[in-house]
Amino acid sequence: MSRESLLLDIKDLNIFFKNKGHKKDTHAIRGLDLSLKEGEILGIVGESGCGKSLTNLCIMGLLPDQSYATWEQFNWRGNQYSEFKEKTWRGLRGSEIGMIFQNPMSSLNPTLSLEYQFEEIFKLHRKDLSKSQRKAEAISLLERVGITQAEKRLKSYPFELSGGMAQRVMIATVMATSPRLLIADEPTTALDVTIQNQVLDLIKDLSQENKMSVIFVTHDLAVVSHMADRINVMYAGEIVESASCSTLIQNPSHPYAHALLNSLPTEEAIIHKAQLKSIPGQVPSFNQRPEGCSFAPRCPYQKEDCKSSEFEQMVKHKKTRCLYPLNSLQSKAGALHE
Amino acid sequence: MNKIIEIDQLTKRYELSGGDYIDALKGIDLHLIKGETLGLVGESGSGKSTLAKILMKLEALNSGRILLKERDSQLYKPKEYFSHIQMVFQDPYSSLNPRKTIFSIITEPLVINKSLTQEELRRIAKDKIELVGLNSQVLERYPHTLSGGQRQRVGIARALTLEPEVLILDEPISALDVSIQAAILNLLIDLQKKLNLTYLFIGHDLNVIRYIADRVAVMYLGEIVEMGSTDDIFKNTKHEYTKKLINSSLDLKNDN
Ligand SMILES: Nc1ncnc2c1ncn2[C@@H]1O[C@H](COP(=O)(O)OP(=O)(O)OP(=O)(O)O)[C@@H](O)[C@H]1O
Ligand SMILES: Nc1ncnc2c1ncn2[C@@H]1O[C@H](COP(=O)(O)OP(=O)(O)OP(=O)(O)O)[C@@H](O)[C@H]1O
Ligand SMILES: [Mg+2]
Ligand SMILES: [Mg+2]
Repeated sequence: MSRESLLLDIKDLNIFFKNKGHKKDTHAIRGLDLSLKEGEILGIVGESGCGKSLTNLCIMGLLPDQSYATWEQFNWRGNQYSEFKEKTWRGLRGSEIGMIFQNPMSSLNPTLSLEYQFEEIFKLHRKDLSKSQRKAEAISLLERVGITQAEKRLKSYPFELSGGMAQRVMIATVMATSPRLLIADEPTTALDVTIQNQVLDLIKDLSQENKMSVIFVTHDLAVVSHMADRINVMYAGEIVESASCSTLIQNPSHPYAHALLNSLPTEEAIIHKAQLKSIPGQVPSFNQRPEGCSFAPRCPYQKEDCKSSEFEQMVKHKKTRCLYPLNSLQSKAGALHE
Repeated sequence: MNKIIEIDQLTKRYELSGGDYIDALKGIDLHLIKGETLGLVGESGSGKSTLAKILMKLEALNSGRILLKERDSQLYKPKEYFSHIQMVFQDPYSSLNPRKTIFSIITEPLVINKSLTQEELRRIAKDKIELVGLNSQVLERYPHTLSGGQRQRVGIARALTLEPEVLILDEPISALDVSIQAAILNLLIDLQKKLNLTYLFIGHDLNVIRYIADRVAVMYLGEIVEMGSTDDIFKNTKHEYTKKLINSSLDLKNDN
């Protein structure tokens, strides 16, 4: 794969939270590598609180106050960035990178009607359109995300929308800018399955038609299995496994990835109302990570050297951050919970 | 049959800016039996959250009535009403007061309803936050420093502090990874068995609904178009919209 075909190529990204007083900064994201080809859909799954949104905000240049990032390499369309220059990033954000936020209300202005919000976007990004074309385009975008009576809805204000409608309106406003990279952070959580599928198809179509790349964060493993080309699994601020979609779903090799897939309610559990399998124990907070593998305390396969100080060296060049990755036989047999 | 909540011909109209209006609820009849879980599914925008908000008195109803334990909800004093019924909100971002620590958010219902010492409050808060799989360190933090799923769990912990008989759960686990979803579902079922709680569970994930609900109601454009035992709804589906829902549900892709 030649370097030029990569849209985004990040190496060794680290994100820290500053702490008050003399306490050491909290090391949240650790040594994260992430690359994305044009037109590729990358799925990200992982434990709640593991840093998925934080990573995306960093790519958008929107890290929260109190946090900062370092990296070895940050390459966007062949250009190296050695530091964030707010001005450069403001240019990219909106025109080349669009983000569907986990919180839909955060990117809709509560005091403006939808029509006005589309106007603002078109004025910046679609200078070619006349006023009546802009309205028609807004209506057509709303219809593509399944909003009925779109013309009437243009007069609405964000607080007048249901959860799922707000989410779709935000998706439509991002689509209006035709980004090269779409970061979608849980874009369909508030949608019923019929509308969810419509939105997923739209994202897929745009990715194929316009070679738009997508980072797709979700907890819905079924959704990601239909959307992604590749999947990164995150745990406690690190990518623990990165694999093609079908490999990850059928033969996960990291014990966390495997356990996650095993937590889905099975047909049998549904019918017999059996207890669901969740992963015992708790994810460590960023400032209380154990030495060695962060997942070891909850891992049924952990051995002594998983907790050793040499762990980092030993997994350094492995594809899966694990000393004892599961082979395909084990993961097929669902060995973890037997 | 012990109906803990009865909803009679409930309607709600929202006046929109520009003189238009939307009939969000067009005469809803619904009841909750003590100790059961009623699953509520339906199209986005069909009125599920509106119904929940009216039950929580966050929105006024236009006509119809709601009985809690055979008594009109309007006749209750707020304090008494909310000791029986609590809710986990759909939007984990706007439903937590940004200026309060997680500790005060979780203990607020207790402070209003009971007189407890600071130590007792601490103990309960720690208890509840660990119950939903969070580290008690977060009690000192503010909502904006938590991830989406962490906030959602704070909402669940908060709703549980009073151990209310009726719990309205509006998409309570949509922001959680499947392992924590499983843990929360196990927790809800446990509590229900122990305390005979009643749940109104709003959700889009049909497997979760099939797992947790005893009965299911399907909403479409402000109306309940189909209601029955969970088995019946999924096996002898009658309404077109429900059929469409069931057929659109995605499974793990497991080919090639
Ligand atoms: N000031 C802070 N100090 C320490 N930790 C913080 C601070 N602010 C945020 N965090 C933690 O950083 C993490 C941010 O995670 P992020 O929002 O990226 O999670 P996520 O993977 O998107 O989770 P979810 O699936 O729940 O949305 C959380 O664990 C949060 O508690
Ligand atoms: N405050 C409000 N003002 C005006 N209209 C509103 C208001 N709140 C909700 N609506 C409208 O009422 C209808 C029902 O919304 P509701 O939030 O109850 O839907 P829902 O079934 O919960 O949908 P979702 O699954 O997307 O959350 C929608 O058409 C919505 O636009
Ligand atoms: Mg997130
Ligand atoms: Mg809703």
